[in-house]
Amino acid sequence: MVKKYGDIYASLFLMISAVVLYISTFSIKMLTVSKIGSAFAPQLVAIGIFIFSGILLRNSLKELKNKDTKENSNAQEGDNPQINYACLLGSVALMIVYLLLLNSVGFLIMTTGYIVLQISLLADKSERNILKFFIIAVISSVAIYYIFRSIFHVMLPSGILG
Amino acid sequence: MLEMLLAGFVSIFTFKSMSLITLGTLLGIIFGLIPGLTATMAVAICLPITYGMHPIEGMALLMGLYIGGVSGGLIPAILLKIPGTPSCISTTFDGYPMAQKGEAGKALSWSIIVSFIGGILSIIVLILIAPPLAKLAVKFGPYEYFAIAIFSLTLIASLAGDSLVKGILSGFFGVGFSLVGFAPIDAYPRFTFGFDELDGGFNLLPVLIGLFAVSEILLAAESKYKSKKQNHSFSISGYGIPLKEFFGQTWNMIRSSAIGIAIGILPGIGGGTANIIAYVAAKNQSKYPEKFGTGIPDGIVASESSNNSATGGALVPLISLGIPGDTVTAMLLGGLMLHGLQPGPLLFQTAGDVVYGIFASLIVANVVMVIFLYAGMKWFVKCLSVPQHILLPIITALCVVGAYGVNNRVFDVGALLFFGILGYIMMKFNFSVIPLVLGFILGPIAETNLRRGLMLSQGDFTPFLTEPIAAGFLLVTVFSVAMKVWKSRKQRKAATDAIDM
Repeated sequence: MVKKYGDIYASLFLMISAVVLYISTFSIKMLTVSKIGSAFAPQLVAIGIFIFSGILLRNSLKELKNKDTKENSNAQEGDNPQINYACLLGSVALMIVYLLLLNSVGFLIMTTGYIVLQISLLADKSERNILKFFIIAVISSVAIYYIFRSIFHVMLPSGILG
Repeated sequence: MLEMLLAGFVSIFTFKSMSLITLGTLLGIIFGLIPGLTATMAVAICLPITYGMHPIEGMALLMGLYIGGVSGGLIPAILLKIPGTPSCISTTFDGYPMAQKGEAGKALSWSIIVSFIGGILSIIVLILIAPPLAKLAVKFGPYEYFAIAIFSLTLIASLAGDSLVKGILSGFFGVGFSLVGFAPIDAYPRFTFGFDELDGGFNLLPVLIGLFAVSEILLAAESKYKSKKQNHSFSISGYGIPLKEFFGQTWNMIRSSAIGIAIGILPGIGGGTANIIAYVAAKNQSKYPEKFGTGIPDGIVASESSNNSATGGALVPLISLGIPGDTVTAMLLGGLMLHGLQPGPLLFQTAGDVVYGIFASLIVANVVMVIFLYAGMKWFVKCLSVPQHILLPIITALCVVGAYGVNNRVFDVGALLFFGILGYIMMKFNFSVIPLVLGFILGPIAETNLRRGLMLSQGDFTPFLTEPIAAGFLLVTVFSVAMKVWKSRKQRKAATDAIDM
């Protein structure tokens, strides 16, 4: 479906965003005596996105029409790779939790937890070995933490352990 | 110039710098050969390591990563028909058939040697072109910079990906995101939504790491890595290449390297495009085009010399104009800025030692690359069996460190995630993310110089069209866009005609 209607959805979304962007530029004040102020570039971008999304919409509608009028349309184009939404959304959620708690809980604990869960999420059921993943996670997060903190002086948050 | 280059060598001939180049090249090769990991990613996760280093040492490491990352892909391309990076897609066309004929050693030898030659040729061109170009560019004012930014923006939009409209849209997104934060000239805060952290705009590094590394991890999650336990069976023997055969490829090597350098110089595209164009050019000009794809060295020579020569080419606009030639150099732009160095024509004056240190590091990295590839070939193949479901989460953690380290704040990690998801969605809708990066970098250059120019001319736009260099660039811009529109119309017409038939 994304393949067939993707461009139409995308262009509609972009056209609406462009309008919102354009309207929001009205609040930008002119601070210099010049022909163009700080609102000029955002307005140009909004107009540009609007026009080119329009062209994209027109092209994709045309294409869709061409496909539909063609009798016996080979609707299924064969290669329709399965998207594993659970794994995808799970990964995004994991990353969000990781970043939200990074400061308060600390880099070491959060990174270990993140790596264990992310590996388990990505690995096949047959390969799931939590103990092994845990060891990998501990070693890598401790190594990253100490290398960056003491050798490269990147002050990673120590959180509750600090 | 020679003295400066010698001084550059002297500055990197320290134990620390040499170890960094060696380490960088080794890591780069490993990233290059594992499919899904790229040179861009390698540079992204190693950037935070360079924070505390001297700029020359930091650049030495990054140059090693760059050269290694572009070269490493040739091993799986030849032995397993898996291009480790997009830069060596066409290496598989003839490399794998050669390996199947029992000539794996010879195919690898060819690749390594021509990679080296291509790399060195491009560095020579870089050293010869960049300084005079920078000297010329020092005289550029706002009119010229505006025109160059517009030229680069349209060029990348028309070259990246297969849809012109989507390329342009992606470029607009990039410009749009670059507008966040204080506006140039009058410092009016735009689109900060009350976040103080956004006053300075999005930092380039989280944007890049998100778009190129985090999105890759989401793609892997989506397809849920299927462990493909392949039994890699191959024998590597017979590295020798007869001298006569070697010199028979001279013209092919020169042509492919020239293609690589030229494509590298164009903003935004690099080895990934160069290798395919060079392969097609070699095939079209060959006396025996029908043999291409059956396992002849010509194809390998074209592909491998062009992708490595794109490296030096991509550094030309970065060093002389401050405009990155490909995604890795966009990352290097961020790396230089971290050290307080503004890439551009003045770099030769403000940090000439760093520039010549970069040149020297590139040459050394090429030599180290050859040694490693020859010596460690069998070991490198083993790296391919490290499962991605273990590698990717660790890389994510390193990305987080990279983003966090920019300003020591979690906000940039949020930006990293945002751009990762954005990159993923764009890829799903078949938008190339490269124009976005270029738009993000070039947008502010275009806007600042437009406003500066208009202030200089007191609101008159004509100098943008009458100053010879600016006018020249704008004219070429119009011409190249018109060409592309005409071409894509013709293609679409041909396609609809084919459907109607």
